[in-house]
Amino acid sequence: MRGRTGFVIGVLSILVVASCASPDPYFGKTDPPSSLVLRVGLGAEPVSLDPHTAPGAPEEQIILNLFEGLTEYDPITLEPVAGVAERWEADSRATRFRFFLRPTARWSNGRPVTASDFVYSWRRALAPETASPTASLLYYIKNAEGYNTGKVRIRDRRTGRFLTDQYGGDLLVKPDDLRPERLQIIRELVQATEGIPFEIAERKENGGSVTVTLRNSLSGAVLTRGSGEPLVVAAEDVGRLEFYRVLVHRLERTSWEAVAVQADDVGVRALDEQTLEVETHYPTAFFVKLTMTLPYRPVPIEAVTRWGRDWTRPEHIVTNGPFTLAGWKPGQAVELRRSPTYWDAGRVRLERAIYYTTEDYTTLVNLYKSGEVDALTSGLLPPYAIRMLKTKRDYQTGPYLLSYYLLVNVTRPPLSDRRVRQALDMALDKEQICRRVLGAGQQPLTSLTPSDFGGSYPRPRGPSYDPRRARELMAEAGYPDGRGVRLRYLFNSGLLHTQIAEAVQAQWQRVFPAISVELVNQSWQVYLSSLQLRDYDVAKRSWSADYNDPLSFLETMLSTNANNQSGWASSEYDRLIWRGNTEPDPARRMQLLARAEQILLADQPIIPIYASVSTLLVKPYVRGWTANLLDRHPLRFVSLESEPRMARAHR
Amino acid sequence: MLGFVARRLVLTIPLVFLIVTVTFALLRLAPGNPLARERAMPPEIRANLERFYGLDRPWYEQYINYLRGVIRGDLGPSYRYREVTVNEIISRGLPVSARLGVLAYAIALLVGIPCGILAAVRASSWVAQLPLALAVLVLSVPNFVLGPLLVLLFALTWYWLPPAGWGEWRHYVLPVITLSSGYIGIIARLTRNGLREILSQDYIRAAYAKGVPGSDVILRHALRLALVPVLSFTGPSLAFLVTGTVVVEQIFALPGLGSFFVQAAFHRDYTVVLGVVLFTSLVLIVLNLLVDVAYAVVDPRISFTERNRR
Repeated sequence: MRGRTGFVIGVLSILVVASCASPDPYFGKTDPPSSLVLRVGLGAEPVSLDPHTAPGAPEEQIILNLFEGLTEYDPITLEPVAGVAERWEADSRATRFRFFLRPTARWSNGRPVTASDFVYSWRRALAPETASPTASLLYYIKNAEGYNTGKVRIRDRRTGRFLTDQYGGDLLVKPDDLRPERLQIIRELVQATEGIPFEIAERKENGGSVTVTLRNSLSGAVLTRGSGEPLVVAAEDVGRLEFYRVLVHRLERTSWEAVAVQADDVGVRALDEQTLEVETHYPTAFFVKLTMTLPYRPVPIEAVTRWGRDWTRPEHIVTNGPFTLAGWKPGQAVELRRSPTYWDAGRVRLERAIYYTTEDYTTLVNLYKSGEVDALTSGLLPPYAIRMLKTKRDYQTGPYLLSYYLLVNVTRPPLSDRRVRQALDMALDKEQICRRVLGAGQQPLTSLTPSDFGGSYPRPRGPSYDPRRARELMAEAGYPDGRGVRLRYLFNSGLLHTQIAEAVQAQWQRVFPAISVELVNQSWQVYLSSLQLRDYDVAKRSWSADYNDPLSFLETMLSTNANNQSGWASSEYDRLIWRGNTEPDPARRMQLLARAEQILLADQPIIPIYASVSTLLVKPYVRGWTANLLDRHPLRFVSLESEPRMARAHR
Repeated sequence: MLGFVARRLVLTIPLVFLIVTVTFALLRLAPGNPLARERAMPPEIRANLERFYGLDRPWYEQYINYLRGVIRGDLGPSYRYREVTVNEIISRGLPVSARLGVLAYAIALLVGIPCGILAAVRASSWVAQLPLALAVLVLSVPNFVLGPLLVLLFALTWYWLPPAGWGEWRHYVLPVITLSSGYIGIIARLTRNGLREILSQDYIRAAYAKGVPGSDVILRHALRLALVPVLSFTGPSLAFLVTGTVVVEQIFALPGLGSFFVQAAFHRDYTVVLGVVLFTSLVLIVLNLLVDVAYAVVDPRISFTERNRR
């Protein structure tokens, strides 16, 4: 079946390229629309239109037009602009934020949008039974993580005060960690590693869980428990060592009791109908940017409680954004209609918008060419057609916050040797990959972060292309010419990923003639499972930002982050990221984050390849739909130029 | 005949049970997790999701729960689309696939049978053979080539018809042509071969000898029996067309059962895959049964008791 589908795509590809080889300045029809309906090629089908259960893009393209957050994306800079909140203020430590809601904000059923709506919505997004896949974006709010993950706080019985962690926030613990047997292991782990430089001596995998034995990296002696047996702990415990030290230290000095975190403990409250106050766990200078993301958007309490899971159906849904849901035909299209109750409805130019949801990108390009679609979101242009499409006037491009890199499994030799990882990085001519394989303007990347964020982030640089030094490093590590190095390169199906994998394989084999690189191509869900089980040596990875900040990339490599599937853990990296997050001064914060990234690049658990660009097609009569860093396109700012003379002028 | 139909329907139950069990087992053995997402979730969030879908239960409990649902007619929630049930996915995809399939097959019959008759009765005339030759030529062009070619000409070059989509009459044209083309050739050939065989029988010669007009001999006496092979072909073909023609639905981005099935298989959406397989099996069984019943109507020589004894 897949071979057949592949063949179909192949045939269609040739046809598209053939059909776009025309001298027209535009790609396909440019007749202006007869009505104010924007037709958008979205790509994948949205999984959900509930802001709290949708996993991310492409759902966000639609949801940001249905549910307005406290703040909204500026369509060009993507900086927060006023949404439901007219204005906001923060205290000097950036731990307490107040949002002042506009009195004219309305739900589509006419009810005012109030601060209580946000309190209800954020607590709902965090409730474990909602099972929100994006709830972790709310974890900056005080006790949000504890409530979502069923953690407990620890209270001093005598004073009634809650114990704090190393950063001054509440000490949140998994109830399981407080069982006497478990607490004993944690105590022994903390004691055995106190002041001792250690490394992993042995690692055992058993059905998805990984245990490790540690040894003193100076003397080589295996660390032991109080009873003298070797200390065997879960691998993730090593990453949490710093936290456990604080926990053991606090518990030793206190007569304590555990208290479960409840919804009421979450640090958000309505001071009155129009004022929302948020308390964050630690200073969070960039908190306002987060309020544009999905889990921060409000949902209507009356529809959710009345209809349960069915509340997002067109016949039940209540929205507060510039549009409301007119229809959703799975596998076909989602249709929005202008909301008459939106506070700024007078300035919304579109009557309707239709998002076409086919995952076949060639079909979307065909729809665009034949004039059935007016604009495509980024990333939908087939790689083979880009060189041709670049010559057309309706092609748009610009920087995009997406890094493409290889994740390195540092737990297996030879990649457990940093020199091998560095050698592999230095052996890649990324400039050539960008120019010859990609060709859409992607930039060679030497860091995890793809941008300097408008000059505010002193982005560090990793090693550049240096095949001579790469060969030296490989030889120093004991693998001259790559002899004895056998790598499984994991990637998911897709023309672009295959081409990149083949280019990387060829470049490595050119620099290290004796290396063996096996390309392992898996379908998406299988690839994700292999990543999770760490069943690879190097794996293709791409990461796009949730918000316009380097932290959106850097937090993926924290030792406790589920997205860090490399096995790499650095307490110094974790510490610097935390220090950065708790730093209220923006410039100083960026420096701390950059220092953390420097550690990451020096240790090389990733091999960066390129920083992406957005690639869009937009008909000449569409206004306000422009390439931007996160590929977000709020329809509130989009309009259609329907006068025929304009289109003729463009021909 | 009623007894035959009842027996076949009773046999359907263990057959469907077997199909569900084998599909369930294969899905669980296949690598990949339906809840795996590009952005890995913290273990606690993942556990919340597994609890939500009952995936935290042992496999046999999941299997029993699924069977209970099937008996109630509830095929469960989609693992991918949280607000949609499998019953809804089938009820949305089926009308698209069914409309397309029935229309394509009807056109195939309307064009294929006359072509076959012409080719059989005017075997020596190249004018009569031409439609059959053309039909066979089209048959040899696979629909994954014909479809894109039609798109290139009618949608991307002349802008007459949309290259994809669903909802208006103009969305039907290219997919129906693509889908029916292959069947026109097969039906024409089956009709011609069947008719030529019947026309060589003694009773046909006798009819001609009695002076019955040629058109009456063909249409009243011969064609009815000559169409038995076409009828045999109709059962499985129509089941295949009605339950989703994967390639054509993919080419024209049609929201039919075939498209949902392919997407579900890629995303390990277990319940949708199981639901579509179950539904497709039922349609296939029922259509085959209807074809068997239709044999008796078309050809009185066919006896159910004899068939069963065989």
